[in-house]
Amino acid sequence: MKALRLKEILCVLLTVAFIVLVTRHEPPSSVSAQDMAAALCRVTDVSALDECKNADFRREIQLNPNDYDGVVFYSSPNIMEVRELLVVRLTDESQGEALTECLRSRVEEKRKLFHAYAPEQEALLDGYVLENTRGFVLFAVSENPEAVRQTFKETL
Amino acid sequence: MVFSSAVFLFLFLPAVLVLYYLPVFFWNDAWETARKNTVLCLASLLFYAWGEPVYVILMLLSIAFNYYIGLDIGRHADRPSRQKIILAAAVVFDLLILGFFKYGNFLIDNLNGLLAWDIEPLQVSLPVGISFYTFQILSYVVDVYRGTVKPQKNPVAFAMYVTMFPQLIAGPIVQYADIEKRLGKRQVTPESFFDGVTVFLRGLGKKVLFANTIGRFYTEIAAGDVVHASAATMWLGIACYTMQIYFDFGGYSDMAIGLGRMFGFEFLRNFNFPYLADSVKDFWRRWHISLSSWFRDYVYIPLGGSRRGTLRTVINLAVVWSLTGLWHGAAWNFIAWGAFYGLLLIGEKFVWAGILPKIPGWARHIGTMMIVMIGWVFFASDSMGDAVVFLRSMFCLNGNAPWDAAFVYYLSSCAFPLALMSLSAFGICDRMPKPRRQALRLAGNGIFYAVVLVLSVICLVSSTYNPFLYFRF
Repeated sequence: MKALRLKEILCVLLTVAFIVLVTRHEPPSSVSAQDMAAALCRVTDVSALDECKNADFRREIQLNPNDYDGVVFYSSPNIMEVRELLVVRLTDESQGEALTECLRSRVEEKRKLFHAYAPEQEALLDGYVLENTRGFVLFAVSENPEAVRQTFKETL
Repeated sequence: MVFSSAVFLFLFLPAVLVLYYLPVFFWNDAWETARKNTVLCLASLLFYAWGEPVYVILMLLSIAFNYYIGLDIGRHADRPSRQKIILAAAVVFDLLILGFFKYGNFLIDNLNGLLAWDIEPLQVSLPVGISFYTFQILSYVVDVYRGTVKPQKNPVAFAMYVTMFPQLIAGPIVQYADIEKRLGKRQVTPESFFDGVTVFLRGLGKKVLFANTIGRFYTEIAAGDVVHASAATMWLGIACYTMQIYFDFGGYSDMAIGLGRMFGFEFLRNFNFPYLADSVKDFWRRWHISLSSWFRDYVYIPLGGSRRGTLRTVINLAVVWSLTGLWHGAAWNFIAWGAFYGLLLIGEKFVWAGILPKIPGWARHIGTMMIVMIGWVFFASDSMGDAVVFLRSMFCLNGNAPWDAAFVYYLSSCAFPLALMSLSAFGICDRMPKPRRQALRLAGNGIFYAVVLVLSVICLVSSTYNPFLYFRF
């Protein structure tokens, strides 16, 4: 009987410890999506890209931009242009999974499109950057993926 | 992981089915069910960890705690007062966990707003499926306390009951008593397996072909200028959402029931043509039946139900429906949605109970549908403010026009899918004559579900991630 009670108490203590641990992870960054995008634009060339409106985000990503705290999206209507930069500041960190899943399938679709006939585009897509941390999702297809990743982490 | 994804359909599910059934061909011994339970339990943990690698620990701790609680209650069968204390401890613990993750920030926001405090919000996300598995666990410990089921001595069988992937993320809420026997021994015949496959495919079609298609129209209308859009456009938008949520959640439930049948479980029906309802009470007998049954069995009846006079019944109904609203989400629009139904049910029971039967059936159906559609506005909106703006536009209270060119454009775009979905939602398809010869019927079903699968796969590979609406609960 006592052993059973001890196991119950142990479960409660472990649950409390778990909750303390998950609530003590790094909090969401206070940087705005615009500031983050501005910092990233300094390390990746977006001059050939357009800053997209909400409707473009909805059409391209098929998610509602109003669900997020901030969205900055650079893309191009040119079909052969694969470079993109997307910065999303999440309202709730739980939104990150759906968004990253969506972006992953977007890259896969594009990769199939360019496979075997446009090696440059395919190589750029292979090095795509996708980060989901501290309330931000970053997606970039760029010539400088490492610089983008590094700047993103530093700006956070 | 979602059922309507290529990873689930072509990798996870076939692999689990092979691991689940293959050993049967090599060993036919007393350990068959134990082996199956272990495979299903491990597969379910992997399924959950796919999207929630951290919160799988929380779920395991919750399972362990409640497993010991069940044994503890069972061992104190001769001391009811002790059992009551153990049950109370378990209920408080389970509800505290649910409350912390689901309602913590809602409480903080409201305290900050009301008392001008400045409490930092909690940095936690909502563990997927926590509302569903907490309710399943509670049904188990309460039933053990009531003596309607025996404590489960096998930890793997108990863990499998809680984690079973077909219904882990978005229900239906399976009460322990309903599957207790099948945890120990279950049989799957080829007929029941293929029946499960067809129910699963029906659900897949509902989600991928119907819900996702019609959902785009609602998203487009709701994301537009809601204040100035015409009333007709707003009604059309909410009609699209009405179909979307039914086929989304109904589709998920069918997929869960079908998967359950493929693994030898029989889950109770969660939807019974809810849009055929001719009263609000009738609607709730047909919509999300597993949740209504749970609240009836574990809240309404223990509170006294309708046996303690009018005032007490009104209070009980108000409590149950506020909780139903709150269960769906930590936001005022969900509480308003629950209260809206609570008031209507109280009205149906005590105020216009005598008038309802005198109204023609068709008028009752239309009235109920309009009430349900108004209710979905609270449900679909991000906040109470958004819901009010949407509702005002539906009734031309924003100075908006009754109809406009945008309405004609949207109607011409979605009339066909809406009409097609209505045939299914209103049960007209089910009433169509079927071939008398069994061979013809089977061949027809085979062709139909093969087409559904092919079309769904085509839609899945060409679309982006599209989770179920009920995942957020």
